[in-house]
Amino acid sequence: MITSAPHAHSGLTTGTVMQRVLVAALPGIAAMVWYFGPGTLIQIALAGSAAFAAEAMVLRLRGRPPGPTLADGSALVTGVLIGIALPPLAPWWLAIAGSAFAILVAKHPYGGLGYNLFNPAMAAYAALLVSFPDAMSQWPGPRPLLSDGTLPGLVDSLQRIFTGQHAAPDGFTMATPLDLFRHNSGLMVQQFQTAHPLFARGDLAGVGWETVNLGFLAGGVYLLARRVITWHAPVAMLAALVLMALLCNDGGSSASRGPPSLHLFSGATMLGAFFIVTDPVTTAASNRGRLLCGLLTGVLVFAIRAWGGYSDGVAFAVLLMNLAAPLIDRITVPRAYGHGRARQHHGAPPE
Amino acid sequence: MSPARTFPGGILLPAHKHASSATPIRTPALPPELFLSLGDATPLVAVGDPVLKGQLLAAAGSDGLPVHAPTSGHVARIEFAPRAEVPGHRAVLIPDGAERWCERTPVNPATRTLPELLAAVRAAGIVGLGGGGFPTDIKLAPTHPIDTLVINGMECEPYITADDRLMREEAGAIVAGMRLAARLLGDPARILVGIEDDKPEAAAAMTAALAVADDPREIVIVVLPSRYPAGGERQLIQLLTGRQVPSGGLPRDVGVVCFNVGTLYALHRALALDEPLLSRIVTIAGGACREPANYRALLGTPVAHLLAASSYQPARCEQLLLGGPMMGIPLDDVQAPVTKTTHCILAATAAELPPARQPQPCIRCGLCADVCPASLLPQQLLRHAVARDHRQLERHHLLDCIDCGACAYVCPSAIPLVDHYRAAKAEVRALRAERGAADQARRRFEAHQARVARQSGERSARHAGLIGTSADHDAPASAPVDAAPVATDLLEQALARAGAATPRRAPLERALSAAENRIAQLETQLAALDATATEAQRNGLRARLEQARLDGDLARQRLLALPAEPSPTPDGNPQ
Amino acid sequence: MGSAEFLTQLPAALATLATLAVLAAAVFGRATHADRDIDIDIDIGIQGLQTAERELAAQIEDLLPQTQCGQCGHPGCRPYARAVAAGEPFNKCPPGGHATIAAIADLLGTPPLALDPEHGREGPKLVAYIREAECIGCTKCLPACPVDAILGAPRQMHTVIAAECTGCDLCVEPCPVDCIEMIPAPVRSALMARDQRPPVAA
Repeated sequence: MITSAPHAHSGLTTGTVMQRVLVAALPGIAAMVWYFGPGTLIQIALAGSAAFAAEAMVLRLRGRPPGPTLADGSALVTGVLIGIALPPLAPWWLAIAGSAFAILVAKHPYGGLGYNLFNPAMAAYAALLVSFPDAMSQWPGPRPLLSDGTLPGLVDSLQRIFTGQHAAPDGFTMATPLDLFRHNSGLMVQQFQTAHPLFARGDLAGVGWETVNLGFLAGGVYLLARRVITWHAPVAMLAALVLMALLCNDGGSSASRGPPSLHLFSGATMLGAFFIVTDPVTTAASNRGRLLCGLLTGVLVFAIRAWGGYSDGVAFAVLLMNLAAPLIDRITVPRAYGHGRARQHHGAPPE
Repeated sequence: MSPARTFPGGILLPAHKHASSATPIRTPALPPELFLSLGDATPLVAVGDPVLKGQLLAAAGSDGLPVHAPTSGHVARIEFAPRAEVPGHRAVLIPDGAERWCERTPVNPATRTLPELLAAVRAAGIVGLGGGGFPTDIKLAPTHPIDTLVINGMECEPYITADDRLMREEAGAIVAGMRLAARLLGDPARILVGIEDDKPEAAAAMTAALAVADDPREIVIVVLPSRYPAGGERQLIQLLTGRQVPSGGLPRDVGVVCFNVGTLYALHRALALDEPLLSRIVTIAGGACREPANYRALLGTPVAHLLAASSYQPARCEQLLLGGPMMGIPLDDVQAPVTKTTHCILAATAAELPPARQPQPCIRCGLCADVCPASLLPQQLLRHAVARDHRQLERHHLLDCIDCGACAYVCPSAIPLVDHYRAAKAEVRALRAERGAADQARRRFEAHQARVARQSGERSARHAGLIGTSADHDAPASAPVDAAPVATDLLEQALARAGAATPRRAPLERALSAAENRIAQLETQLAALDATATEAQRNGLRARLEQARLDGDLARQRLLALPAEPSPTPDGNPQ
Repeated sequence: MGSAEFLTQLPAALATLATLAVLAAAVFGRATHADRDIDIDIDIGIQGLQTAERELAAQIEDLLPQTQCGQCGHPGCRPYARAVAAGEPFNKCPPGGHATIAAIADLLGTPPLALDPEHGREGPKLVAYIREAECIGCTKCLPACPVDAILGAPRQMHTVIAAECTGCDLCVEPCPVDCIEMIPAPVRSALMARDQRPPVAA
């Protein structure tokens, strides 16, 4: 075999990159388990193994060697993200259907890893949300707001997920902070926050939801530190979200779309900013392009939350920007060395 | 001077330099044979001739580089070397061990004029020793005003320490060469010496050498952080001056000329001591050598000779490279000779350079774009290179890639990116050449049409003025019936000219068979014409057929008449 | 309530509009410089159809091999390009072959056609070569060459400047002694590089 330069390699593999993403998701997952019960872990296990199995099956069907592609863990990451996004006590087939959709419809028809147009996890989430809106909105209330023992344990969760008992009659499901703001019935923001237990303890974005978002933010910082992602897309998305919230902030009237802090630390904001918008396959290639992509995602997330039909808009915003990414790539080719505006002519005075 | 400037991207690499930088430069024993590539240079010696050290063996060919004898001895053979880097002829010189010099006439360079100095540089065969191999005399005669001379002492690739050792041991000569280069370049206002911070001894030696003689110019040694590829010419210029060499241009376009320290050393030896370039410093490194070191190797020394001097263990060697681990090329023949651009031989073990992993799909992680020193988007280039989308490749500035390999080094999918870009670059260049040739053809066609139009205009003007006098002479040759006598006349003259000395059979036979071929062709064409053909087409073909028959008859007659004198006039009557 | 509602929505509406405007400006502002495909459409809208056709002809001409051989039945590549722009079939250029046909089809947005065999067949690129020993110096090939790539004078041996020869073979016919032949053009090294591409991962 003819070897070619460079002969040295950093030793970094795709598997390492995916491992780091999984590690970075841990704090957020831990917060979810603490506040919303161990159901999330079951969903992650279900979705992860379903994604893994679907990937293996498709690779076999396509006649590709499954070993290296499965080992890199990209399917696992997709599954884990789906598991995180699902309500903790959603029925078992929801996770499996989502993972199957992600791998079989959103990923491989486009050519598999590296070629998919849409983020598979978000495509699956959107498909589930549209198809099973009821099951997808059954979020339990955060642990501190429930009377002791209401939050199901591991065994109870397993039972609920697999036996198909719907969680609703037990009275522990609760509207998410974003839901509450959508259906705010004529209260000023301040009244609202004092009235509802989710905000009662001075939480800006809802008990539990805040911590979960902080967890994913911590994971994002880890990813930034390990240079798995660049700051451009997340910072642009968060900045756009804050900017839109500020622009639309009317001092807390009853028609308010919610203060910036709510948008920043509620819903899937941090998960989206650091784990979804940064998905390199489906976002723009250049840093400038990523800034633009992140910015527009932030605008869309707010627009969907404020004026759209769903309480959270991360998945739809990401999918819309996935569509725009190739176009953004075309208009954001970076200035290469030797093409600079700053080109100095010979004889320029030395600085 | 603040070294605050930077270049985008770059990577930190394990240096692996201490093994070979610790020992002083060694002078190896004379090898049994030296192999000197001649290219298209004109040999001035014959096989068996005794030669002296420094003697001119071959006058410069198209590359402008003469070949000198690196040591005294005799020319054993001149042979074809098909496996050489550039296949061609080479001279094999057997040293006699005496190292007898040819006559040298050192003249103080300060007393010589610039053209004399340039001629001396050219005669010494000096090229850029950093790896570029560009003739130094061309760089020293710049067409633009130069305000900055950049000296490259970076040596950013791992393992290589040739420039490091040279700066430590010969800083005085390097500084002397630097002054000569500055003088030839019209005394640029400042001289910037870039040295990486992992070579403090070299920087100290250079500082000391500069302190010896004071200079009114601004000469600054800038110690720069080690970051690959900071030693790339364009990156170093950006680091030191903040200027970017324009795409497709040369450093002189921004008032800069850049020299490697080894080149300056050679320049000093050539101008002060009248020594042509006969040797260079070569690093022998890697875990498969028990004693990594630098060697002052005569040009033409087989690599195997230097490897042996460093206790090379072939069994442990996984990859033998000509050059460093980032840009080196695999060396499959250990008998390959040291050339002017050989700066390192790396005999790496499997632990040092593990074999490449199987490439995985690109996940567009963008690490490659983060490290690209030319601010390209390697992941997009890969996509377009695989799709052969040449327009997009040009939009993404493929040709500004410098092959540094930083992208492939960090790629988690182990994609051989540089290979893809090299293949794509060759395609883009070929397409550009094709496009350029088509444009050229169009321009020439337009010029041709313009000229034809002008001439026909002139001709009709002349006709109008001089009816009858020159009409016969200027009859347009396009009418086939008119052309016949002219052609016969030409053929006549040609035959007369050929036959005047010695009547030859072969040309006549060829003319005859050619005419017969044409007759056959034209007859079939005529027969193939259907009812839709115009009368003009038919007449044209008939006229050409007539002409072909005339030519054939003429040739036949000539052939028959060959033993005797050629007949003065052709019969001109077919059948 | 009405005015309060309006006030709260106004900034958001403005921001969304501004974003869309920036995006549109970025896309179309760049495109007019960088992207000729979009250019054509814009030009047709703004300027007259005649100008558009002339521009189209220029773009088609850019895609032609500039052999100037006349095999298409037109005296040169530009007249052929004009004819194609005016609606003539674009499958009459054997030197350009399928690649040129595909490029023109791409430009016109129509499916590609098969090369019309009436105008010749696609073959390797050729250059004219004069067997110099046989050349009689008649100069008849000189005016035939559309790009003036033949060097010669009366009664002097002629030669083809290979680098300038387009391979049109118009010089072969006028030669009275048939000493001009068409030989394959030297292969470019880059074409070899195509076969040395590294494997692409799945």
